[in-house]
Amino acid sequence: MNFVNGFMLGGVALITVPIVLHLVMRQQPKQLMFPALRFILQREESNRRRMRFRHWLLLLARCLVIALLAAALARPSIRPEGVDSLLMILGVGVLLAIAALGLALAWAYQRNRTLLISLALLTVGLLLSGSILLARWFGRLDELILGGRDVPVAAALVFDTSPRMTYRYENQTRLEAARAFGAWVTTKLPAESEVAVLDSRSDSAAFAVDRGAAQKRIEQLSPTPAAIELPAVIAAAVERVAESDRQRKEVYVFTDLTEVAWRESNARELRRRLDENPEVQLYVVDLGVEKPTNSRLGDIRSFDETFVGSERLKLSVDLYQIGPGGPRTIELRLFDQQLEGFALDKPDDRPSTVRGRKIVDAAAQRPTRITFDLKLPRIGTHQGYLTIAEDDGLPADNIRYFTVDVRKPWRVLVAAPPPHDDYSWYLTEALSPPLDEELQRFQFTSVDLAELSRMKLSELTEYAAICLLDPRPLSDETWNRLTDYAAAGQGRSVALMMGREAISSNGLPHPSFNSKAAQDLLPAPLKLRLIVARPGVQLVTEQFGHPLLEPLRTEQAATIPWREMPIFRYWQLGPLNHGAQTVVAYSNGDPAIVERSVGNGRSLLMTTPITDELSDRRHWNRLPTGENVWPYIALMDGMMLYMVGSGNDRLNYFAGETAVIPLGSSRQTVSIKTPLGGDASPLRIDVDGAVRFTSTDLSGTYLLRAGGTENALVRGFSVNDRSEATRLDRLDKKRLDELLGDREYTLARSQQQIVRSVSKGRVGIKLYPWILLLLAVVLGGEHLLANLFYRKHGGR
Amino acid sequence: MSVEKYLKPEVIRQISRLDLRARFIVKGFFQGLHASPFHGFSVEFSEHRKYTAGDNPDEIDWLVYAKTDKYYIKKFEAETNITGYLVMDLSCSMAYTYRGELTKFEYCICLAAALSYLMVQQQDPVGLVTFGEKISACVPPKAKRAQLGNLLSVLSKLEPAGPTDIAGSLTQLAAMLRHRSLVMLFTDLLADPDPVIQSLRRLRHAGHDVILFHVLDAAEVNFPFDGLVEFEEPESQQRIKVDATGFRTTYRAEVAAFRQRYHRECFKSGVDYIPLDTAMPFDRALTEYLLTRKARC
Repeated sequence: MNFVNGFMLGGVALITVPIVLHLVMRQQPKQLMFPALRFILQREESNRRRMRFRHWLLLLARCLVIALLAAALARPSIRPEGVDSLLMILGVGVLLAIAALGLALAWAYQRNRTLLISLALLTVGLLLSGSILLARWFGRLDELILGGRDVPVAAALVFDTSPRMTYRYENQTRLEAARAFGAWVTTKLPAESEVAVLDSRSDSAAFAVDRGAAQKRIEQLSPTPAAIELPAVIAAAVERVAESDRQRKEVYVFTDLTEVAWRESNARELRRRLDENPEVQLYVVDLGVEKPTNSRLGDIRSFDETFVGSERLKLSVDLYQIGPGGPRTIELRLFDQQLEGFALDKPDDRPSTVRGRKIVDAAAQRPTRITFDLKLPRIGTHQGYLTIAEDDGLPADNIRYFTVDVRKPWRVLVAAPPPHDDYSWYLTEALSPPLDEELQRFQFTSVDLAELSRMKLSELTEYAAICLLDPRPLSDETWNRLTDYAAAGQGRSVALMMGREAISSNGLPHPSFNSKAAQDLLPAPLKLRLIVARPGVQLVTEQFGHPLLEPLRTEQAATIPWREMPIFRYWQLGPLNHGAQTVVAYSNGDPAIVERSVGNGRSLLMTTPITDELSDRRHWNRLPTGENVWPYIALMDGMMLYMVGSGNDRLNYFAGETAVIPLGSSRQTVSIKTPLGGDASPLRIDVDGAVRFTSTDLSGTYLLRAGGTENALVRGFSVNDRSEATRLDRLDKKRLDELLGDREYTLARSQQQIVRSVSKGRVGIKLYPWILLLLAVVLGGEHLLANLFYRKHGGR
Repeated sequence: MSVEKYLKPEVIRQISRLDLRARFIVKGFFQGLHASPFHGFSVEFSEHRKYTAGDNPDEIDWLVYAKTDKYYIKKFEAETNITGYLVMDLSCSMAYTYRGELTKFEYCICLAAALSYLMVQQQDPVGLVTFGEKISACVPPKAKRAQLGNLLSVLSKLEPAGPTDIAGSLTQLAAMLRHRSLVMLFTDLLADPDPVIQSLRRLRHAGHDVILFHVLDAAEVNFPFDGLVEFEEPESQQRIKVDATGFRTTYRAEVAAFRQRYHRECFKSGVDYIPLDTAMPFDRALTEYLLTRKARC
């Protein structure tokens, strides 16, 4: 409750005047002789009670007149949410007054016991209810007190600064409109108010030093690609103003009121905060456009970021349209200078060449998919972007950057018992068919096991992976070297496909495989060779989500014909070593492929070989020799890609994600050129040389240089806004009501609406006219009572 | 102007001479009887007229027939005399008037004078008894013309003052009266009713006819006061503050109950109870007298 002239409430003290008058200056009655006094004397008691009652009633009316007059002059007002309670209290008060009056009348005039008791019970009941309501109302009085129009407030201004807000309408972006509106709001806040300015960048809030500082902060607001969801920011703002000791608390939200800005995920937290702090007034300023028109490129669909030069780059993207559609030109551009762009101020300023152009008809009903397919002959990093050639209101979502790495085929060392070429045939033939060079992602080097034992670690590290096919026992030295190889590199792996060569003379596994040196590398010790009766067991891959199985995740994944490739013999394993896990199992539950992390790399153990020929009567399986071998090829392909760590290098990120760029070796000096220009430092450089960079707020292409000017390693990556973040579909009022729960809030589109609503919120509902009305009624009642009691004797 | 106006107290008040008051009241009363059911009770003139077909043969005056050999109807001739006592209450409460018009006592005097006039006209012996705490004056009943003058002379000199003992005085009166008489009691009955009723019964038991003229001031009946009033009882000087406006209904109910009680008790005892107030015309009292007289004839 708020009083314009609070001091006038002191006038309530004047009710002592009628009380004193009542007690001290009793009215002098008219003196009359009257012989028939006996008739009066017989009813003297009731007469006395009646007179007392009337006197008190009159006194009450007069006190009420003064109190109401003082209250009216104080010009009170109340928050709208307090009105319901007040009306209820007034209603109970009126009922109580009626019941009390009835009780008093019954006491003064009637002696009906039943009536008296009933009225007394009713009065007590109403008195209790009224007291409870009043106590609750007074309990909430702090919330209901507003403190006058000019009393300082605690205000938080929440700006949606997502890229959507750069939508230009009537030559003004939504953010510019929000800035102007917000600046205006700060000018309207009472002096000494606390103002906090929040945007989508962070959900932490602090009050500005003064209003000028807040206005400066508003002027500096800029679009935030990695925008935090708006309800989370509002919740933080509500919490911040709620902590303030200012009586009035206001939160202004400047938003384009789109569906994506108001997601349900954080709304529950916001509702909780609002419920906890009912004194906080929420004003939602809708700066959105009712019927926007915009073309939007979706996120570039999953593509190979790192591929061998012989492959083709395939990019596909969806074009979304809101509002009237039409023909749109989508271009694929590649920067001419790739990593040389580091010399330029901004990487995106590099000249680019159109490498693909498609004209499509954008329709609002459904997205249009556009696919580009081109060959990138040059080995190295390529950066470019997809763009909509036509301008529209929201340019931020018309461009999607990409970075791809074209590299030479991965070198894989295959070691096998002699004749090693024969042993490795099923592997090399499946993954690197000599007839089709374009499909060669791997360059296999086949060596004898003895030769492997002689190779130095430096020689081994030239290979991206080492594959041991049906290995014979190795020396501890060789095991140790292989372990060092795996542990040192990024994603380097050693794979062993165990076969009959591991069987010792007593039929058990050779001790070399279970030696300590071997177990430092291998995921598990070999237990015994198991021979499964026909029709054997088969691989089970459906329920495993390992990246190794990525090539098998096709539309026919549920019907992979593993049954046609039965396994009759395999090595049963002992307990898995620390850090090991089963990747693929047999249908009887025993592990088929087991993986273990070794330092920065990993080792894989396949418990059945891929080297048995069909003609061999004691062949262990028919994996490479089955009738339908495509699952085998896909499995090997996935295994090799996993081993060489092809999926490790992410070159395309969404804004806000931490970019991890492996450099191959530890470099001390690393600098990163961002789309804004200027060099930035990475957050952290890992021991293995991987660079972690968190300041990926801006969409665009980034360049990274490690080492000195000479022999510098330059790499790049791209950052894009999430396409979903620029959806302009409007949120309707009903949905907003649901999101904010039962909470009262003000949705405004104009400054006038805010003025009206804020005025009502700050000043509340004026009770002045109602009190005056009540005063008139009480005054009339007092006059009537006074006339009734003290009427002169008919003027005679 | 019609003489009926003299039945109104406010008109009579303007006449100072008591004999004139009595005469005017009686004249006004008889004037008003023309259309009343009391026609036939006029005793002022006795007359004869010729018998015509349709007359009641019982009313033929056979003495006149014997003398004149003609049928005459005897009209309004009194046959017996009733001894009447006008008993006046002299308590000081009888001197009360709220409007400043006729006091209760003056009203009673007027009534008594009118009745005296009427009775003397009919050759009925009439006497006067006044009482305060006990019987204070007594004019023996006579039927002579001169009696009227005596009575009016005494009545005009009476002054109400002091306390009263209605019951005691009535008991004393009952002991005084030798013959069956008509006792016409003028009082405001502002005393404990039980002894008064007892005394009335005693009078009746002695064979007297009693007409109780209960005269109150109009203000005592209607309670026309408003606002806060402090009342003082003139006899005991007792005071009480009253919210008069709110108390009016209660007061009226109380007075009605009081009158009702007297009415009930008098009816049981055979006493004629006539509640009057000073604003009422006088004919009510005269009518009552005539009714009683008729019953006795």
